[in-house]
Amino acid sequence: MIKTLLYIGLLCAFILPLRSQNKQLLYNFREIPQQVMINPGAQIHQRGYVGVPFLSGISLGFGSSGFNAYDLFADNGVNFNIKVRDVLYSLNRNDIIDMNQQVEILFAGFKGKGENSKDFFSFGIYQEFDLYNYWPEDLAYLAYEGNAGNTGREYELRDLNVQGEIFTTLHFGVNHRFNSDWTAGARFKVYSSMIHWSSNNNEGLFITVPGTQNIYSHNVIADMALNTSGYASLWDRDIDNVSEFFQAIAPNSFFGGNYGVGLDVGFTYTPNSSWTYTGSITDIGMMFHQNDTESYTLKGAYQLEGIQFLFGQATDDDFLNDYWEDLKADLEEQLPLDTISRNFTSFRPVKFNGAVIHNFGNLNYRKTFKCDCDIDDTGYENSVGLQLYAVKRPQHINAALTAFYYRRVFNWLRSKFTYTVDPYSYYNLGLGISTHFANFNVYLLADNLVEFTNLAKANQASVQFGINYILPGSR
Amino acid sequence: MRQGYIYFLTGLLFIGLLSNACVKDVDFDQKDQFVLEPAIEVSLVYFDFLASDFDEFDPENSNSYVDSTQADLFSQDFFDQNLRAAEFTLVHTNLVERAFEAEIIFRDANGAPLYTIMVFIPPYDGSPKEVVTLIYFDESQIGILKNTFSISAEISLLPGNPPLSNTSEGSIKFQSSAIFYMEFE
Repeated sequence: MIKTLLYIGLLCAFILPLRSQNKQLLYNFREIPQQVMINPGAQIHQRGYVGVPFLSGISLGFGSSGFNAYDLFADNGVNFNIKVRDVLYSLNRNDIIDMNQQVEILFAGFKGKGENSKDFFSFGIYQEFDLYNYWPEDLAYLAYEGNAGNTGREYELRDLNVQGEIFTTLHFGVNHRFNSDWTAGARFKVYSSMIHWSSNNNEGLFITVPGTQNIYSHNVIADMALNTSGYASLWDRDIDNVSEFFQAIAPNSFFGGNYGVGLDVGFTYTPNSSWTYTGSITDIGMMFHQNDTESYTLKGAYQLEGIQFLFGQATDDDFLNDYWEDLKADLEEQLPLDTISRNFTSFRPVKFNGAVIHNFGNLNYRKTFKCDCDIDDTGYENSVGLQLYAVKRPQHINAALTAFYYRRVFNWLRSKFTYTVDPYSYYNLGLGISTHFANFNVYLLADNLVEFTNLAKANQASVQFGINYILPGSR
Repeated sequence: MRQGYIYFLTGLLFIGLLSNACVKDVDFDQKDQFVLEPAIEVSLVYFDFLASDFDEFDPENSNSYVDSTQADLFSQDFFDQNLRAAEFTLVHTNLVERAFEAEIIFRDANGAPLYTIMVFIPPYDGSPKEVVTLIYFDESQIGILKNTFSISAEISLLPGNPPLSNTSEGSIKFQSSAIFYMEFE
């Protein structure tokens, strides 16, 4: 089982690089209430908790698989354009830049009614910004080099694959402990989009080949679209800075008219106290954009060999003709660039998390303490394991493999170390700590610590922190 | 317990590390140096005449044809602001047993010639006569293109033998393309 998972994980991590939304430190970190946001079927030991509004869960992350800020902006005397060229020729269409930010506005959870209840409910509201942009390899080469000297080369228009959105999510989760071995859960989400733009599933190509009548024949076949919602109305507003932008989109937090639904599911299986297996799929969801939508489409086919001079044979005037204007009109007719308002559906990037965990060490660790039981605590004091993370986006799946060590240091301090691999980062060490004082849980998680001394050299980094009030007693 | 303190210190170190997180040894102002220099290659004008189009036995026929098109694209912002140099490739292919002269004129908005290209095309003698003419407008000359409003092409049959009739074989063909060297700052 472990060998199989390891094999699959390494395969995925090396073939399908990177992500910034990986919350490998939070996953299965059972002292932190927000772990249920990654696995609604997580083992929950608390009786209940309430997040401090706006401070219970803040996370920021970015990732860039192909280059980092230092590659481009290093203050090293090398001409900037040479650095741009070097970076550009090192990237390909599988490289991704992504950013993610979340702020929990409200978050709470409580055990079901009755001492013997096996249910746990959690709910809340959070705001999220999510952006990804796959490197548009062929379009970038075309813009950088032009088509000169590239006769016969196909430029794929599908390389344009970008999505960005700001939205709020209202969620309600149910967690049920079936027996000592199995716990499973689901979370229902309602999304409200504040602003959205996406261009994916594009098709078409541009190619220049030797012509039959003229030296070259230029050919475009395109079926492309950039869909937006919550964007067109911003044109009517006078927006000069970021704060005005947020003021403009804030009313869409709940009543923007562009809603979506989503589902998270997950489980925990503990066949014995030494081994734990967990898995979850989150954000199986879509958004329906019906309000304030604007789409830009380019659809058609066009072939150009130039302007044929007809010398009066087919024109009214045998001198000054409007061949150029005719050509432009023909192009616009064959390959129209339209701005339209239409309803469209967008998909949330679906995420998968899985883990195999081995627990070991002193099983009775907690019993050596005589404390007020601010958190329930049974089990071994150490855990090691492997986690696999994957995210599905249009045309791509990205993955990462994490090895971790979890340690119950004190009753009030728990820690988790992670080492995450993918082809672009072999040094991604992460550390998370969760503390408990006076029924307050404070946590801080950060990955890629090696690069925190100079974030410019980091291909990715993420940090999460939050404060929760933990209700006394255990589940 | 000692082990616990080590963890505790590690935690403190971790928080220290995060609070000292920074971005250094980089200069973001370098972005101002960025220049994008694509070379765009595009087919331009072409035409094809049969030898019979120059029938010298038909008194109504002309031994010269001229046509032109408005071509103010170079004065559009896209080219006006970013075009640094241009190279035109003109290819005349003669399969007619007579020599021709081609004249291509770039004219301004008033119709005044800005630049004239004259090409002599020798007669077909059993093998196709291909005349390739390369015209390069460097930065000092690019203003000519930017002021161009129309382009005209004229093809003229030069005096000689054998005379061309409506049954004469062969054709005179013109093809052209250009590479525009752009510079976006």
